[in-house]
Amino acid sequence: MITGDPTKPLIVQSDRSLLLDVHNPEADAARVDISPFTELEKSPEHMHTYRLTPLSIWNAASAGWNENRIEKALSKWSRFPVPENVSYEIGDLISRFGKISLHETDEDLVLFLKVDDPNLRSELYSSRKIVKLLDHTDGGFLINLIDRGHIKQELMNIGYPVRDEAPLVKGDPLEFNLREMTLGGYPFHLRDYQEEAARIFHGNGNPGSGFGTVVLPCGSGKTIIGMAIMKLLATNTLILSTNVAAVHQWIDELLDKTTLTREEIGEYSGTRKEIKPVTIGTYQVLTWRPDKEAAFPHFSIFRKRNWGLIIYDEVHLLPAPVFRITAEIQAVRRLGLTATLIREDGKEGEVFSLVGPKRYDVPWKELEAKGWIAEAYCHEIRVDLAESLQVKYAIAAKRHKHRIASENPLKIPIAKQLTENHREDAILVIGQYLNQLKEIADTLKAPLITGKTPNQKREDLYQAFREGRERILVVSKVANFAIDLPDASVAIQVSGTFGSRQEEAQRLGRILRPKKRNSYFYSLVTRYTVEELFAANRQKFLTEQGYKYYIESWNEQSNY
Amino acid sequence: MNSLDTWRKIILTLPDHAFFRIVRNYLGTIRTPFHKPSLIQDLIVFLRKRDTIEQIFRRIDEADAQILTAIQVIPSPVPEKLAFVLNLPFLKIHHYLLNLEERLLIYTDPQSGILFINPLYEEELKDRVFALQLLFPSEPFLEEPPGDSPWLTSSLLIAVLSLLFACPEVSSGGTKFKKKVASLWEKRIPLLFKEEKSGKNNDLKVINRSERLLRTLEILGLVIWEDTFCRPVLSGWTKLSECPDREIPLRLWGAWAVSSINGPLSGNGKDTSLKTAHLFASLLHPFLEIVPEGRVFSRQSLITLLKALSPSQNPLDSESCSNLLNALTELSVLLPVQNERSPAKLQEIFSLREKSYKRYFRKSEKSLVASFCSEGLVLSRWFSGLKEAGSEREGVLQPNFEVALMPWTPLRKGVFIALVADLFKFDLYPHFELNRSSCFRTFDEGYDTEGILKALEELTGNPPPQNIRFSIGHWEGEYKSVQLNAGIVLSVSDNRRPFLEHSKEFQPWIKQHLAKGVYLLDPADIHNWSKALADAGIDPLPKVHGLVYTTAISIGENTSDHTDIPETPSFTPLSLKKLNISGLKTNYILPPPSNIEDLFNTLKGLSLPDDQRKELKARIQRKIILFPEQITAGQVVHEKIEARGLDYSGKVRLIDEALASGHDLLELEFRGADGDKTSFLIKPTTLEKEGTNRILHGTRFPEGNDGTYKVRKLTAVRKLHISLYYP
Repeated sequence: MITGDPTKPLIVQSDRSLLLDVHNPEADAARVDISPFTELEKSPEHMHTYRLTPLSIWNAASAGWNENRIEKALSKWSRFPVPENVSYEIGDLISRFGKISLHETDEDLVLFLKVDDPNLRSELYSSRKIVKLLDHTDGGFLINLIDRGHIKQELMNIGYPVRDEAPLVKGDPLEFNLREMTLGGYPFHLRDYQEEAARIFHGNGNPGSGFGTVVLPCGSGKTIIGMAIMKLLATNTLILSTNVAAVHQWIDELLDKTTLTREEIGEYSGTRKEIKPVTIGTYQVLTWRPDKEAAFPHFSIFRKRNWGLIIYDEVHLLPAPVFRITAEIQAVRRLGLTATLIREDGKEGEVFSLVGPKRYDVPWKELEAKGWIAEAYCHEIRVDLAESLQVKYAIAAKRHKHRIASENPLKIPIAKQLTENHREDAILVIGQYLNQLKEIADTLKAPLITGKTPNQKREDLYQAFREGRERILVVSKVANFAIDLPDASVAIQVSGTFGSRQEEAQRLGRILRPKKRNSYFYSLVTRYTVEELFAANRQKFLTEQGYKYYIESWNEQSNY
Repeated sequence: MNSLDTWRKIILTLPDHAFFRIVRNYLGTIRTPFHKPSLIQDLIVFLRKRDTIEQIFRRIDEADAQILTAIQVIPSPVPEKLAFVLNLPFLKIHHYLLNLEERLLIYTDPQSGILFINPLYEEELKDRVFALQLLFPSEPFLEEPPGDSPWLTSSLLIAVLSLLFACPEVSSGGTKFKKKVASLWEKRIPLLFKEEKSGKNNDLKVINRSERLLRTLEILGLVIWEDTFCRPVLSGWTKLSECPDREIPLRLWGAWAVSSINGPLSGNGKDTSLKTAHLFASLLHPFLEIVPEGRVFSRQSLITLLKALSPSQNPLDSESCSNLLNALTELSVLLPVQNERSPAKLQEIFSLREKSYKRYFRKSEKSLVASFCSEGLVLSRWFSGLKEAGSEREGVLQPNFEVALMPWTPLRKGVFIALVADLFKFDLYPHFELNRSSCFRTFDEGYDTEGILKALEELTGNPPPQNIRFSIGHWEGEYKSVQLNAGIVLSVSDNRRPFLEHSKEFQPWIKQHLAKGVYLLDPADIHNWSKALADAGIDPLPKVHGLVYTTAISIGENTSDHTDIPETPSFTPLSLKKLNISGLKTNYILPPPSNIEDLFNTLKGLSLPDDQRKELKARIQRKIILFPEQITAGQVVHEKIEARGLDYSGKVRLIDEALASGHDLLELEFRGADGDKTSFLIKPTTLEKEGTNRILHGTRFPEGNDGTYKVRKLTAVRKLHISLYYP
């Protein structure tokens, strides 16, 4: 009888997924070995799922991995023999890397797409999507620089990665250093995983490096990684983020932790239009246009300076119009930062082919175990729908049911009870519906921050929260993205959009920054309504990140 | 009893005529008066001498060795079985067996007809003669074995069951899959959709194995078809899971082998298929134990093995065996391989001098090589299944509601998971997902939260996470909040209600008390509650509104005839026949040369009458003369047992003698119109005169059909014993 070796932690399945038994003593060592050529799909409590994807294998190939090395790593850790079809597919995929490569020419705006295999050349030339972009020449094709990203994307789609050896523009230089002591008076140094992420992205400047995405949990210091990369590249940098608060956060961090001066940093937002060696703007401004047919006037920001690096903060939210311009600026180094791979519109592939493949990630629980992010406890509290709303809910159209369930007034006393249970904690109450949030804010006698709150007032309240002068903040969707509240240790989610996993991750991220106390994430859900179904999606996501998820029923006698 | 005593007892059972013939042959003249026990003792001394043993064994050629091995290996071997297994004409086998009897290598139990190896020589035969290669030739497969593993396993079954539970409506008519369902199955269990080359141009075509798999399950009684629905029979799955783990795949494979016809099974077709499936499964158990890993067998070799294993009362013919091998190949239990060997290498491995191997392959040496190389089958090295050494865990339940099963998860536990969770993806570790609808169908089967949690804990070794415990409990609450019941609703007005409330006879028949004066009753018990109602003064009963009466339902009629509940299949234990191969070596070794040439020379040098010379020569050829001392004039009694050609009276005399003995057989030889000779055995019943002709009536042996033969047409007649051990 063929027996498996229980001392080995990995199970390789025939669909190219890899199951890692985390209770096995060798699990960590195996993870280190397989990470370069796999993608982490999910990491619930007992078994983590990795996957060999074309992208992950090509990634590895671009970093110098070959078929034998991958096979060796798999065989070393695999509990059972590696399925033959998997070995074959690895070989097949790896063999495609390098068949097409991109090189510079004497002309600045033209690149050479080298394709040695004549059959492959014919295949490419017969592709309707790119044929117009290809100009036959010896050994391959000439392409316009502006089509670089588009062609790479299309070739990836038909199964041929491009080894991009065309040099990226250096950009205008900008030298600076990271401080050893922040302006705030605290010692500062990079954490091991931050250094590693920056180093992997930079790749010593070799061809095929300098573009990609770093995926790390909220609170793990992605901004720091961005800064580390900026320092390594020492070049003019354009940073795009989700909102003005996030922009200000970047500015504050840059000033606090680097030797950059305020004069070297520009803000490009609704209120200011500064172009400096480091410029931080919002996606919102970028994608503004006077009407649907007009051009995007602020796209010119990409050409205002000789940028050497573009950072897309929260890259999973990259708006669709920005894809197009991203395709055109493939000659510039670009870094995507995010906590979640998932886009609800399913366009992750486009993001990763235009911004770059995932270069680095770490399971959340691993960072938690090392103390880099806080340990979080997730609770879902279910409450009955108020009797007064039952008939209204029953007869409501499907699209309105969610709102009725979400705005269940019986959630308010629960929220109040929870804030009383956490008297020592800084608390965020997060929701979607402004009326409900207003009522909660009034009940808790806490300030409310919404999209309409003026930026300055918002900043003041954040500051007050940081300093402990405000213990509770009630916030709308604005809190989802990129605001830095290091001392929040409790989040109470009273409502959310339809099961958005991305949103769940962002909200959890609000309380994950390391602190002295544990963090608590409460989600209030109305029982026997559509809210339960959507809550199930969110629950799935969090458990797949490795968080334990407790569900309780609220009744009058509930003791919290 | 030791072998010596056994042999002594056996030789005593020899009829006198045979006994004395043997003693005279081996020991020479018998002096009178004689003492039979002393003669036996002398015979034993002779047979146990080293020289005697040596000469006996040196005369055992490959054909002898093959038959001796067959007798040793096949349980309760009778001549008909040997002929069937070795694919030899019965007549040929009969001659061989008579010869082996007179050479004292075997004997026959006259009561049962079963053949036995002489216990005096059994150990030495094991050391020097018996070889599995003689019956089931194979050669080592030195290449890296193919990675394919049997795909129809308990693990796959669990996955299929889950899909059927979740979506039993699989067909759009008949048993053909709906396109959408086929896509879903392909996504969840890609293994069931195999690419194969077919057609003139060897085009790649995707073969959907799901349809045939459902038929396999139907044969085993595990699913029933209701129009376009293929519904699992849960009780059947429970029964199957009670079978020993090792047997379950065998039952599946046996049923797969039978599953090639289209259309739903019904009536006798169903019974026959199940019986055949059971037979196949019974054969597969010892078959797979005997076929070792790492050796290539020809199809013929494996067919011989299957025939050896098949029951005597219902033997498998070559075609059925071939179908079973095809099924095993489809299932990747046996894998076709190329096993290139040079002719020189093959010579080294097999002795190509003997015809016995050519019987398995082709007639010429060249094609022998070619056919063996191209038709090899090797046992899949995975066939025993996978097991993680020292592991007790059979499943993993994750907080995201995913359940991963191990490849060795027992079917019993897997059936539960198939019910309580939906298949996500089938693979080495199949993944399932617990959800609301899957839990609802589990509640439908009578489980509650506690039962589900207990089963999950038993599977994983850990209590389920809190969020799962809570969710299942919550779903149970939802499930119970709405009820559907089938039955007859009785409603009585307030003024008559007290009669029922106080009726002890009526109370037991209330299925559910729905409201005041409203009761749910079971139509099957109509006889009983009708009577109870009548006793309570509610009589006659009104008609049941909305019920279509196909037969009159009246008080006194028992209508408890449930025809809509599928019958629970039963899985009778596999009758596991084994071949006696313990201790047998694989390879055959040619014996050193005997002294037969010397004996012929000795005979040449003697001055003897022709008939005696002829008889002695025949005895040397029959290998019953071992030493020159046995070639003694005057000891030879030539018994005429054959008449041929124009010797009409000789033929008649032999026929009369056979009729008189009551036991002897006649070998009749004819020459057909094309000039070819045909021979067969009969047991003569009568010899009649018809004019100048003699007409012989007899029964073909062993077939049993009656026949009539004109003596004049016979080319030759030979008188033979059934066995030396028959009176």
